[in-house]
Amino acid sequence: MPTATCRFSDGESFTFDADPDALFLDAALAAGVPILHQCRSGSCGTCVCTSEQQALTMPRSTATCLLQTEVAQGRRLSCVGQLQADDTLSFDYPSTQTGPARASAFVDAIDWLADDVVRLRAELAEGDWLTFDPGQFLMLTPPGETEGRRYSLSSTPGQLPMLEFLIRVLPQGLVSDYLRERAAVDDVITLTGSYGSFRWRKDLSRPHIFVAGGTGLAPILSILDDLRSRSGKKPPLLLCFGCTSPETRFGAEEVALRADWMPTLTVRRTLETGAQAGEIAGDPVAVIDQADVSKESCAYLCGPPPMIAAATARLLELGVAAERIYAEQFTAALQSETLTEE
Amino acid sequence: MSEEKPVRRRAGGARGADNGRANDARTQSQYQPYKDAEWGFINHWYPALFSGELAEDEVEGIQICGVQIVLRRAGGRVFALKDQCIHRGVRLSAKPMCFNKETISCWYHGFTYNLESGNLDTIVGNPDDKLIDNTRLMTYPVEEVAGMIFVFVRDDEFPDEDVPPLSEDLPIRFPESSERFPHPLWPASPGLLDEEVVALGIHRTGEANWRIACENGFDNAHILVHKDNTIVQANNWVLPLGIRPASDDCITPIEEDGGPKGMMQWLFTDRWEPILENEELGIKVEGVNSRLYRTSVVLPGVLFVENWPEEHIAQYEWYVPITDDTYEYWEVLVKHCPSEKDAKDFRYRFDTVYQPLALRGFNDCDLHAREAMQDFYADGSGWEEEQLVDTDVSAIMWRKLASRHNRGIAQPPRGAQGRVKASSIRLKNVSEGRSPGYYVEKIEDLNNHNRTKVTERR
Repeated sequence: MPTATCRFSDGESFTFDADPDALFLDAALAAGVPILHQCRSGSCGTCVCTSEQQALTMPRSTATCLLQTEVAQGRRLSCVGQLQADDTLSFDYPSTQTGPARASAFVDAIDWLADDVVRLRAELAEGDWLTFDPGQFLMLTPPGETEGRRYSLSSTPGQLPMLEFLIRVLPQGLVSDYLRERAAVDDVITLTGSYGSFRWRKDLSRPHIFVAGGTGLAPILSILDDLRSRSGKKPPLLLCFGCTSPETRFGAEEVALRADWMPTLTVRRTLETGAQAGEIAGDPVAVIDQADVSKESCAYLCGPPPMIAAATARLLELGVAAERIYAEQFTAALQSETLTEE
Repeated sequence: MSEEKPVRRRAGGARGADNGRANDARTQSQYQPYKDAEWGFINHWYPALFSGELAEDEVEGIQICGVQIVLRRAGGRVFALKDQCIHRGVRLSAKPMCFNKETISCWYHGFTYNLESGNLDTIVGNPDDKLIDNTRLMTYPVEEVAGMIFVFVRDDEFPDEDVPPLSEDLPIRFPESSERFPHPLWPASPGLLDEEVVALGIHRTGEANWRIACENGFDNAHILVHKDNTIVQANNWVLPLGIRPASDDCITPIEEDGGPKGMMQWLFTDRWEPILENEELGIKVEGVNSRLYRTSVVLPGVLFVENWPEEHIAQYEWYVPITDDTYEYWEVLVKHCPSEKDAKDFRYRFDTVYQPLALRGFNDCDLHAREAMQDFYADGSGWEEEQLVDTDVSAIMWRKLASRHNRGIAQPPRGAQGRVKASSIRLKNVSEGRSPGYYVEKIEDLNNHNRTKVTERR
């Protein structure tokens, strides 16, 4: 099998054996080479590269968007090409083009929703962009700092360039100190991402159970709002959302609005101490009943590790398949850790 | 390498600090989804054409919720497809080309689609292309009742199996709802889906957002605009200056599973108080003939006026979003006409009285009023600035119900008419006296473009 070497503008290169009978793009993607592509039919030109030995051939029967002069210079379309012999293929963009993006954003609002919860709203700066799946998080670097902390988005991809985070403010911490001491509207923060395998699976045929503790509500709101904007019938949805005390209670209005907007959503809000009307005393795991669960259910859990552990055990006991329980653990330690590699 | 590019805020203001949705200090209101529905609610049934507008083999192009739709009647049946060729976006309806009863072809490059499935069956001049049978054009379910063609306008992901029956997007029916919504003053109102019903009406384009238009229809304070209407004065009708809510059960939500979603207003019962006089201004309603009616509204914005404009008739209205600033205004009267003579008499009265004096005269006042309100809401600020009063309970209730039960918020369309407000084609059409509207602009004279100044050298 011929050996392909794919070289990107940042110096990164990938070497793999390419099946001469396979379409080169398919072989390269399977080998993890980050080639940009779109139409897969030779017409858009996104996957163009330069073939040094001209061993990447394109079938004569397929018309492509390349000019004959470009072909003569070794330009090839990965998606219709097949590699006949060893060759080096160069791409004139960095290998990170398809990886996490980095963007500046302007702070639009800093709202204290509880003694230790801030809702931070921001807008991506002119010319900057990134995207994410509902449930994922970004690294947030305050102005003047060089490192960042990870926070889940409570807004949806559809709301971009607007972003919203629900942030638990700790007694001490990089972003916590920033929010408490000096954050102001119009500040420029730096965001990178997106990161995280906690993502909504977009399976509208299954009943969904959401269990959220504290600011673990953020990715759940993102998922709920994205789900609401999806086409077709909505499945039964249950949100069990818990806070610990009246001082740390927040989000009552946000979850009540979702219940107004989505007829299939049931909300149970819990408070460990000091529960009032509309709240159930206790924790969000205790309010999940057998009647809430079907064989088809999927579950999204987000909150502190003990809650995740308890919710997982409870859902397994009630019959939710282990592979359909998705969880994101929120810990102070995780949030204060600098993220370098996902 | 340090990046020294300046970091700037996004231009455009509409998404700036004070106007955008996510970055605003305001709490998201209870009817935020309704406020988001500038282009309408998608995944609902809307009237598209009267049956008489689409004879066998005819093709017509329209736009609803920003979705361009082409309709063709073949073998008596009406088919609806996206009016935007997958190849390069040409509207098939601009110059209809059909080689058989099963397909419609794009007149530009010959992409030929199956009417039933939307499948790309062939390409006229490229019959072996590998794209054939591998792609399709979106199709829209169609129902034809009482001389009206309804289309289920959906987004590209909405599955066939989730398409609800038309009756879920039409007003509640009588007598099946007579027990729940009795009215002491008239018998069961006729409905479009009834047998022996005749539906007569008109539709035309209005220049306002569809929500402004829709809220006008069941606004019980708006009847002041009708005070001086000819039909009111000629008949000496008692049309109140306004109708105030007099009880907290003046409106009943309609939210039953499997049925339409909306609300009923208990007009001309003791739950509403008609205002017939304003002493301070010395105004009094002088009419002597009562003109009692009742309004209800259901998604996606269908007004049902029972006992209007005369006994045993009901008036339907739709405010079908075309773009975010135009809507197709439908006014349809329905009446049970068991005999040919009944139907003939109804038609005669429609032509001589209802159309000129009610659907035009009376309702033209509403068109004026909606246009007058449009600028206040056009930039989005009106929804925040409006100061509502107790008669506006109807609008608030409707906004909440619509936020809860809509099947989707239409997104600003891609590549469709009206998204770019000042395109050169639009400006040229306007300068030639053709307003942005509902129907496609058809190519009429093949050999004569005749729309641009021609410079010659002879």
